[in-house]
Amino acid sequence: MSLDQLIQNCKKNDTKAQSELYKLFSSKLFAICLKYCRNRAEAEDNLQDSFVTIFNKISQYNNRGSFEGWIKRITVNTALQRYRSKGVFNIVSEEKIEDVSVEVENDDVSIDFLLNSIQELPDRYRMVFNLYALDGYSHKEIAEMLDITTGTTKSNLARARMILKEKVTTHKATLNSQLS
Amino acid sequence: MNDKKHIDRLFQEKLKDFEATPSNTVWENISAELKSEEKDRKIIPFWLKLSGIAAALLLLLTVGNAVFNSSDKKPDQDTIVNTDNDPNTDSNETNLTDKQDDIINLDNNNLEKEQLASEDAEMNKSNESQNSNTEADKLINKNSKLSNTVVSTSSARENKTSTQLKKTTVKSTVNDIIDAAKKDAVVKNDDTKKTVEITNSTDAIKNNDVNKNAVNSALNKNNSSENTVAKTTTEENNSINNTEETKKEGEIVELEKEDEKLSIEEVVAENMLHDDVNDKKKKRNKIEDRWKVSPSIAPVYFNTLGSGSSIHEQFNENSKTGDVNMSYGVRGSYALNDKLSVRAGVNKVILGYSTDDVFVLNNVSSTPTDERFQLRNVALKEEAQGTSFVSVEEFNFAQIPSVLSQQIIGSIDQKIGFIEIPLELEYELSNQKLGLRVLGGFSALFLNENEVYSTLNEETTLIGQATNINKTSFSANLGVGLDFKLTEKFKLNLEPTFKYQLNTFSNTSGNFKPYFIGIYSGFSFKF
Repeated sequence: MSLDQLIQNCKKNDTKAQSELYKLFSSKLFAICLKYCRNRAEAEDNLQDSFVTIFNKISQYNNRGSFEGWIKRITVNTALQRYRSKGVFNIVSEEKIEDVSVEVENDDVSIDFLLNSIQELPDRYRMVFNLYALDGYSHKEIAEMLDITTGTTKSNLARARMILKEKVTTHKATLNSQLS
Repeated sequence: MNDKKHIDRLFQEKLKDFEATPSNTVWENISAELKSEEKDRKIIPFWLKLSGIAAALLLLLTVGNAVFNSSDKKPDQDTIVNTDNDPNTDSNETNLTDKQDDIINLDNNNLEKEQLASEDAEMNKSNESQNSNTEADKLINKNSKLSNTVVSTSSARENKTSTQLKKTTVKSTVNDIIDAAKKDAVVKNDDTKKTVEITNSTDAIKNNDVNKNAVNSALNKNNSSENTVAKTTTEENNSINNTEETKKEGEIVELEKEDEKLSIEEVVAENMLHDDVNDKKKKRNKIEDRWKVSPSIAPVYFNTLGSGSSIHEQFNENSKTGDVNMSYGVRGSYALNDKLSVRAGVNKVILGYSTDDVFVLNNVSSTPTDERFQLRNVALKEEAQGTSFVSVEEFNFAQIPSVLSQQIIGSIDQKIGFIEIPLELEYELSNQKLGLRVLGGFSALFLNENEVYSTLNEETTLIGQATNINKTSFSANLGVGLDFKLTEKFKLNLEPTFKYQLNTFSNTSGNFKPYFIGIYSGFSFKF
């Protein structure tokens, strides 16, 4: 069954088609959830909410733009909503910091470690870093999405990078010390 | 690999094609949530539909009402006069409708005027009813005076008619006078009112001074035609007077009843006095009470009369267990006359029954299921494709155990939901505090739920849906209604109703005759 056909059937609330669609996209969307959420449990919650929204709104999808892009946007928005509604965006410091060098040595670090590092970031840093560095949104877009200024997004991004760099370097150091 | 790299790129590259598998519970939660939301969503359109249908019905019956009334106007008047005995009328006002009839017939020529006058009467009446609620004794006294005179004068006339035994001639003259008076009353209502008040007050003095015996003298006095004119104009005015007055009159009538020979005439007088008022009242009552709306809820029991099966011929002889489910809805009814009303509505109804003593077999081998043991009228879901259903009746018990290893005796449960649109006639047998009705009619049933389950060891699994249920079918309905009148407008209802399904299933086997019984309870509100 083609994707279009599958979408059509989902619009008719066909349970089987919904299940198919889930099978098709759940792992991709779950990856997004893992990046945007604090941990696996919250990521699963977020995935669930995202799919419910997708199925409820699928009749609004009108084949303009890619379907995958559409469902990814829903997933990201669901995550943003989740942490915005908890009011956690306000707890991080807003002071500006210098954009220091955040280069690390390219070495083998596991995906799990990187993912963990992202998840451990404060909520807003995590959002901004994901949106900017991984999903290619501009500062302006991010500022609108999170209802903050571009100054804040830039500062959040810089802080996120610093923290991540620190984590990666210490991680490498411990790895190296373990090896030697 | 010592080249420095921007931290963003490190994450980008590593996480670019990252995918992860969520745990299975996620999908379970999603589908559960979707299901419950679907139910929620279903309910809204259902109520939307319902209100749409109700609105359409209302419109239809309103139009019908207009047509009905316009074509029925004249006969209506007659019938109202004839059925004067209704409990609606005041206790004081009893029959003796003949005279009224006569008068009405004579008056028909002047119908227009009468209507005008009675319109006036209505207006005044409403004013006065307010007054009577709020104003002091003064007014009541005044009213009572007025009514005194009226009673006396009109009973005078009655006395005259009866004593002189010249009924017809007198009547005609009286009616001529009435007509003239009515003309007067209409044309110069205010003037006549005043003059009448004057005559009334004089009469009143007489009446107040003189007691029951004096009535007779008043009667005699009133023999003159002038007085009759005054009287008839008072009649007009009297129709203006409200129930307060009626009570007073009642008292007077009772006084006068001691004078035994007069009692009947008084009653006649009463009747005549309130002719107009009552006519109007009754007419309005009727129209007001034509509509009735009643929400109801019922446990419904579904089963079959014959021994067939809607699923497969092999289950013809199996025992069937009917389920008790709920039905709820609302209906509106419209009274065609005081006994008969037509009603329609919309109900949601869910029916279910189980076919017992079925072996449900999961095919061990990959061999296709024997055609004999597939359910002819059920489209199985994919997951249930490999399942066979065999009636216990198909086996000698000796055969069973060795052949089939995973068998368990279970049942096949069928669940069907409808939107029901009943159209019924209701005939009232008794209209007391505890009312009794019979009702009959048809329902259109629109299928909206259709599921077949298999039940094994208390575990129920959806196996598919029936293929032989018509999207639209009909039932014949017969029922008895009991109601308990809380107020004139508000009743509690109980209606055990038997609904025989005419063509719900196609392609059934054996003698499958489905029906359902509902005990509909609710309340009704007239308006």
